[in-house]
Amino acid sequence: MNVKLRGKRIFQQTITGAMLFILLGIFTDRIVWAGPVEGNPRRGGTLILGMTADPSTLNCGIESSQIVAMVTSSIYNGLIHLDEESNPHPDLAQSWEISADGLLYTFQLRENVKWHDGQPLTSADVKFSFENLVGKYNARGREAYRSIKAIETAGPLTVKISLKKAYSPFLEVLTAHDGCIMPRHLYEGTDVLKNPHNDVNPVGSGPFKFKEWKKGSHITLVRNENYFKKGRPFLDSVVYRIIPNAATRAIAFETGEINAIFASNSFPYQHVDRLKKLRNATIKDIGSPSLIGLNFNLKGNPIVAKREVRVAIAHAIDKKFIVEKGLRAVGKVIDSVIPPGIPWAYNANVPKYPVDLKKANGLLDEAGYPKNAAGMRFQLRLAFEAGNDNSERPVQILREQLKAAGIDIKLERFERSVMLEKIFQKYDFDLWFGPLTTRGHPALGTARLYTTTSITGQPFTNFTRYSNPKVDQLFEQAVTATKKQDMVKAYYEVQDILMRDLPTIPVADRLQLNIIKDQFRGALTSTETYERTDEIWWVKGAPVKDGDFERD
Amino acid sequence: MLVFNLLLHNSSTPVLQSLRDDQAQRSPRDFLGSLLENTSPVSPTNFILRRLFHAVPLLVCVIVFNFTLIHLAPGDPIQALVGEFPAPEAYVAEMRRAFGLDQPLYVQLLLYLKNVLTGDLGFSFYYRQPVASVILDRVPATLQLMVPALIFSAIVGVLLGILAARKPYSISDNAISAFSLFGYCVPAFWLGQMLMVIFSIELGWLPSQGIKTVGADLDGWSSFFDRITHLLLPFAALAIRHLAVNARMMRSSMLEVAFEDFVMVARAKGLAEKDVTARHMVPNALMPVVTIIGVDVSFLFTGSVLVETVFGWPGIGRLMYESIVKRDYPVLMGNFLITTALVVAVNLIVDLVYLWLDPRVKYKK
Repeated sequence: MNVKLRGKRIFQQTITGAMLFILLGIFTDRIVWAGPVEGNPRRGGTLILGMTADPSTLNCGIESSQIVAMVTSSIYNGLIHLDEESNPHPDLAQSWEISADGLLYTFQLRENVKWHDGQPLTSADVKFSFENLVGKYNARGREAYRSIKAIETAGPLTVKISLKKAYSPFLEVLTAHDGCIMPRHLYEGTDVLKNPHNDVNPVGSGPFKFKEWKKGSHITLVRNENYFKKGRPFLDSVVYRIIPNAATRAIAFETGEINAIFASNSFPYQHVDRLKKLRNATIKDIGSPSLIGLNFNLKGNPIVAKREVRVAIAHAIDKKFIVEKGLRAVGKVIDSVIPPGIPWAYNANVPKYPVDLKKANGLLDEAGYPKNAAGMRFQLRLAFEAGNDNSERPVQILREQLKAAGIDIKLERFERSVMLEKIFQKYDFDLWFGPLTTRGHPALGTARLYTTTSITGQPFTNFTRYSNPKVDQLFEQAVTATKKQDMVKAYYEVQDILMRDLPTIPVADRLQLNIIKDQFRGALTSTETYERTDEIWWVKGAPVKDGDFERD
Repeated sequence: MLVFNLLLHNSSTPVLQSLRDDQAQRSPRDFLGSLLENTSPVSPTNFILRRLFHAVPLLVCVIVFNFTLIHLAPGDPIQALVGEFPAPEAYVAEMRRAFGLDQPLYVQLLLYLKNVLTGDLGFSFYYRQPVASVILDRVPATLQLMVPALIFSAIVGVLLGILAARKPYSISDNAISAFSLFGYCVPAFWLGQMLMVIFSIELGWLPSQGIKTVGADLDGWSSFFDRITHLLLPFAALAIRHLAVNARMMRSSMLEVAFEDFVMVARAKGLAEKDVTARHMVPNALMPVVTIIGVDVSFLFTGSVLVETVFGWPGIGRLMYESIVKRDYPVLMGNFLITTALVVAVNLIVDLVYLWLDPRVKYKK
């Protein structure tokens, strides 16, 4: 072949290849991989997040559900925020001091913080928010707020909070989720439950301002140009797209219609295997630790009230199999009620119950429950939440595993609101299997499940009705401890007792999965349940120079 | 919902009920013949007024029935609202008081009836705004989806039915019948997901969900085309099923009419086959199809729960699904009430269409 012709062919092939590559790049989002972009953040772009439902309100002072915090944490701020290891960092408070006895917290607020309507944010807003909004209505942090004795403003930028007794995780509830600071000038003297700013035009101090809420479709927030952190946020806007169906949410992520799915209630776990294969996205397990386990109604069923029956059930369960097959290997097998997601409090040396069917059968025989002609000893009702992927498959496996020990399991599938009523309010169950959020501190997520004072008939309080004065005392010791080693010691002992008494058989540490396209950087940096959108940036945005933005 | 539908479709006057029963069992001509016997006709105006008058007790019954049924179902709306963590008792009590849930059930019902009479559909627990505005907010999206789907399925379904019936058991008839059977059997939500896999993931031609692209400021034609591309998949999932039902019904109705005397007479007169079909067969065969389309239209404003949920379409069908999950009783009741009123209204319109289609139809006293 002559050289000229070959050169022409190479040229044609190169052009064709380049065109194909460009076309594929245009039409196939999967191939446009951002690649590693290091260096400074960039400015511009819109992040579209997938969510399961509309939030009930945009007032984070009265509502603490995760779906509300997902949106409001971009509009409002807390005094602090938490990093990847739950360490507190300044947000509205630029510094703080804690007295040696743990009873007085003094916060110094940042200067020149403005509400979205231009009014200055002062210590009076903080006092008002704690006294009239979060302190009164917040469900997640209510134990912390109950411990507040008084709030004083010492000047426009200083807030002093004194506690009735030391409360070790106090700082953890001061984030934008549980401790969001609301504008006093818009809420004082109004019915806070019906204030129009709850839904239309919420006025915050955060990185993004409210633009539009089209119910059932999306919520749009746009950049707050006067945000108190210089040069932030980097994104032009954040859109929360409401997609109730998990399969559709996964498909929308694949097709690039949404760029991220954060938080446990939005992540489509059923599709995790497929999403893991995507080349242009990152899945990261970060967020509030949680525990999946089998819980017993200790006061409602005389059979499971016997410890030897609970121990037998623990020996009959193959947790590894449940995690691998039932939970799609998202999560790890655990042996304690405080999950390893809280590493400083997790006790790995608690009593363990390895799979031993012979021992399980022996214990049940000894307990006075011999097998009948059909090979069954007794029947137990196993309740779980309908449609919850953390429960639907594992309970099927549990039923088969317990059948081998002669326990006839009758599955009871309840829609969420029915489950809340039947299990937590009426205690109408024998066994309940499902996930429980433990958060980053046992005083916030674990104590509510096992202390006597937490038998309140409210959702996700002590529904097994376990009561042990020693456990109550140890939880109290831990929460009021001013030295971390005393707190750790108390939690270790609590876990040892709880794993002997077995009100719960912990099965897995459920990971809170999040997924985001690689085109977006700076996300997933906190153990909080919401995402800090003032850190996220888009790789295709305009470069920002050093000094033009505030580093965290 | 089944009980609800039964109640609604048993709602007509006895005469019209017999009209529907007859349709199910006998040919349109038979039932018309029986209707013409021993009749003492009333004027259409009187007929409409009587029907509207009958609708009032029906609506009250539906409200009482649904209200009781919803409140008897387990699940506490306040707990569903306050979420995963135990809310302060004072807050829960305040919420119950604010939404009137601390009152006995009969008091709540009477209050609700009184409010409905004054045009107040209540206050949504979840969205914390008036029910009427929550529902009205979703109406445009539902109409945007349902109207094209119903019009398309009615026209194309009828045409396919005619085409199939012209040459029974031919290739075209078999193809249309197979397609109708498929469309009728396949659940809309599954079909929707399959369409998404093909057209959104594999081909990448159409968006998988939503009513429009968010985060992009589109206007004019670009906004119009953006909405059209979002509409296509849910439209197809919804239209295929309705189209299949209409085609099957039209085909069987046409075949039934084909052997009637008046058709033979028309042919004997030497009329062209297309005129026999268009002027004699189709108008007579349309009556059962009109009934079916009437039922579809009565659910126009309530949308399709499954299709709207699968495609993230912000319409009334999805609102109904969400209000059940959230135990948002007022929104649910509002939806049911509107559906009932629509079913009553559309039934009335369908009966009037019969008059128009066939002047021999008279309504008895």
